[in-house]
Amino acid sequence: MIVEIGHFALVLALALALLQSVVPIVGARRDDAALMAVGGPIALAQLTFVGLSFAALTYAYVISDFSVANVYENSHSLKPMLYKVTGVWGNHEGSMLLWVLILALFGASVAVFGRNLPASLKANVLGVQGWITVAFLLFILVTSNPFIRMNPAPFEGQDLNPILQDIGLAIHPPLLYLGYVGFSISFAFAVAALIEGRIDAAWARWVRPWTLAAWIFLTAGISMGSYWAYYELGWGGWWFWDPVENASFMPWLLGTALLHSAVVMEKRNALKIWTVLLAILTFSLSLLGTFLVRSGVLTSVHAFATDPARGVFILMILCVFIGGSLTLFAARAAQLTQGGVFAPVSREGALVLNNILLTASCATVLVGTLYPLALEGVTGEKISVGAPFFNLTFGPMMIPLLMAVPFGPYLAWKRGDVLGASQRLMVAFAAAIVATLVAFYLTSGGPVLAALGVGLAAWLIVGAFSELVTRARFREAGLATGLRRLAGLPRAAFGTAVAHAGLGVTLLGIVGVSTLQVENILVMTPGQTATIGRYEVTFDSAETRRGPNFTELVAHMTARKDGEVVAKMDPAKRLYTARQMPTTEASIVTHGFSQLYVTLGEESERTDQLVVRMFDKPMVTLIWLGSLVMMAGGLLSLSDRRLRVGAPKPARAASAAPVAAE
Amino acid sequence: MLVWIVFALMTVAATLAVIVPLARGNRAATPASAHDKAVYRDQLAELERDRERGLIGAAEAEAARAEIARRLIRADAAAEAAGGRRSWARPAAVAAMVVLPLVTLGVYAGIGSPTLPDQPLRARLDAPPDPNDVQQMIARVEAHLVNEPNNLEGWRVLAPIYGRLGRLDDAVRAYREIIRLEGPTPPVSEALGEALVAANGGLVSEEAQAALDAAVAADPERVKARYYRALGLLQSGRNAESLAEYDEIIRRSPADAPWLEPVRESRRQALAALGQPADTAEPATLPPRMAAGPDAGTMAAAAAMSPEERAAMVDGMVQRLADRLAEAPNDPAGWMQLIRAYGVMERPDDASAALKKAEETFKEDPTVLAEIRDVAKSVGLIP
Repeated sequence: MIVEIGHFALVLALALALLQSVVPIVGARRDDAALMAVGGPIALAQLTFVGLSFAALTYAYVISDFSVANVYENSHSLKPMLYKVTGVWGNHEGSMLLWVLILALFGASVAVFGRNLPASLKANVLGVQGWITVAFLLFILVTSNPFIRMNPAPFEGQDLNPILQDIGLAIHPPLLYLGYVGFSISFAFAVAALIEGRIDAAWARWVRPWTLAAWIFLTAGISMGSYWAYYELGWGGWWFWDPVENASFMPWLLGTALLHSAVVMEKRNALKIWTVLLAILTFSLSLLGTFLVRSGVLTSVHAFATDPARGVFILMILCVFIGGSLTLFAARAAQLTQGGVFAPVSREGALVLNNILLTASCATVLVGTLYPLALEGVTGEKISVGAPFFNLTFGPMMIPLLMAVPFGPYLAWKRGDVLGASQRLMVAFAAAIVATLVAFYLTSGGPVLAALGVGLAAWLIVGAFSELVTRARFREAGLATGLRRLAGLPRAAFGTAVAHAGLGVTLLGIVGVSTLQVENILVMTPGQTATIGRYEVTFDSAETRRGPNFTELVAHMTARKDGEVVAKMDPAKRLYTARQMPTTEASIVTHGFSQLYVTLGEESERTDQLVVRMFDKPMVTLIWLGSLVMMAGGLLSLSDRRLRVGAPKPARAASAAPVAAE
Repeated sequence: MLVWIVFALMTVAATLAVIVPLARGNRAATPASAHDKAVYRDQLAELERDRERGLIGAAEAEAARAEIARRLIRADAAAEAAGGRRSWARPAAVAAMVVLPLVTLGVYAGIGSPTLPDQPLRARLDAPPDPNDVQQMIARVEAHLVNEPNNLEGWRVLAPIYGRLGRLDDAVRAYREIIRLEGPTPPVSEALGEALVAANGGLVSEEAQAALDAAVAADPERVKARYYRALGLLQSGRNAESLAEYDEIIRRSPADAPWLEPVRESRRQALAALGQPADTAEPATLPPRMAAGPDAGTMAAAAAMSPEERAAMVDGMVQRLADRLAEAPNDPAGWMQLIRAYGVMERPDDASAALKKAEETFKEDPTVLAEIRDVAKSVGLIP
């Protein structure tokens, strides 16, 4: 009965979403307060019923109810409980239900935290959320219903893909979805503003925290996915420019632009058109990402064509939402009143440059991702666009952007002074030169690019923090006053500095690992020692072991540095017998920020020989630590109380404020 | 019935969530301009802070202040006239009361299965078993063994079935469990060795070799164990020992044994490894013997069957055994086999009937009686 209650709740949620997408918007058009006020309660009821539905499906997984087809196809009664629960979203149907659950969660958050929103804006935002919910609930119920029953129930399930039976994939999709779906709020705000034909002053203040939250989740999701691919796939790479990765990276690039654009709009009422367009495009790319991953179009264009129901449905959702919102934008953008004016060289101007570079680099990623699909669809020819393409197109656009980042916070609003900013950045510039020289010396005249990359990273990190120091005016005010001033700086200022420094940290990791990494592939026999970078690795012995549902070939190795034992390493190759699926288990030793990465390759002819791939990866963990630092910056900024929109003040206080400002 | 009551309550709750806020009527909303003005005032304060920190020049700050002040004035002017139109709250409430139940019931009636109860694993285990479903039988025994890993009989049932279904790792695990519980016996060691070899793709590992050695040492008549043992010896380069083992098999086999051909084939490989001619004389076999029991052909056919067919074959065999015992009841081993089979197939009624008949037949023979009762105990028929 519980399963059917979940099914019924999902249908009820669809009916509620239909009301949500019509009633508040009619209310906003007619200025009907009662109708507008309905949006919030419906959004909360929506969350309740979608939540109930998700709980029912989880329950079916936990009790191994194989009369539910979805559970039968993706679970097994002997699977550990953790993977029974994560199996709920480890498959297409369940993950779409999770998508809608998160959508409902965000809608309910607008209802709860949006008490101070102007009534008509709130009504329109919830209405647009209702449209998205209707589209995805219909998609689930028509093409991907997780509650389809089977009678009689099969006795045993078909189990989950062993690669997905990993703690990394238990957390990665929900984080990614929180990011994707979080941008639906920015989208709903943008479309609501276009429907109204005016943008409230508070609009950007409202959009910014949602965008920031979504951006933090997306950053976490992407970097988590990257680390998972790094340790599980066994190729030693941390980014493959794979279409699935690009699908999540594109909304991140545009979301970053949106974030900065919204700041300008909030403080200066400028860049309105940019912000609205970015909000629409960011969510469109989130939808595109969902489409690419969910329709099966990536595995093969032809697989998509043979089972088109799902793909065509998502394609229709894409057309309606992207096409519709862009049409609305074209019709209404002209009506958006222009805000504050600014000189080309100014904080605003710097952020326009930031928008342009991020959007253009996102466009190159889009081309590199979709071109092979289009080509295969038209001519049937299969090509893959990989790192060389992106290094030539994406890289050259990122470098000027990264060089410009420290300037941004130094430029004043409305009219900036590049010379003055440069003078204040002298310290950072000196640090960058020193870092370049030191790196060049330490690598004993090694690759020049590496030294320059290290210099750029130092430029970003020192530049980010020197802005704080300058703002605190230590030089004029002395240490004590300076510290007091520093503590008095708004948290958003710290957030900016920390996030920009995080970018520098990630860059340092990328430069370190891509220019200084040492790789060695060789055939080893027991007793043999190989040198890899700063280490000697001895292959002691190999053995075959059995796990609960796999057999594995384990190599026992000892890593030494200058003759001293650093670590015992046990890389392995596993074969999951049920699905005859091989996986590699890399052995990774972390020391400081660097890692020694050993993995077993293809088996060689003789059984006592093993193909071993070894990498000495200097500073590799900085790539992910940097993204943690960026997230910390985002959280700092999110926690800034000034960003919360206050309720309209009573008349008395209202008359006092402009006087004080005069 | 209960499920419909729950559905009705859910629909009512959803409808209330919509119509209650509608019924609360036309509360005066704060006009949008008031929100705007609050923000503009915040912006003025922020501007002052920025100017203090030097984030904006004095002249630019003045210009920005003028911009914001103009916006404030515009917002004041926009103090809108209150909408005097009638609220659509009532029609909206009616629409909600119609749309929610109709849409929900309409869609759910098309795709739902309201009468189908939940079928958790527990409930399916408790339901009467379907003797034609081998997978189900395995799952039942597995579920049982999760709670009672020391149940020897369970592992005995599973091990050969796993082997036949190609779940070789599971078969190996099951044979190991049997050895853990009752110690090594020749048939189980032999089966373990065979399963290990199959699981390893034909390679005889050290563990497999040890198990096969043990089986042959305890029971020299274990032809299959000898065969794999010889294979292992050949693989590890002990060619002469391998050849000797093949010869031993031939010496112990009847002339019409179905395994002689493959043994001779393997023996030729051993000869080739030793550099001896392929027609080196082999020892004499035992005289031929009429094959009894399920012959190799039947076994091979069984291996090729689908699970359903195999279950049907097992059913048939059990039925034939029961028929035979009904005609010629004086066969203690037969009765034990029948009781064990019914136990495994979870047909307790048939099992107790068989036990009763067997006890009747052998009431004068306490030894046999005790043995039969042991078997009944092992399948849980009697405590």
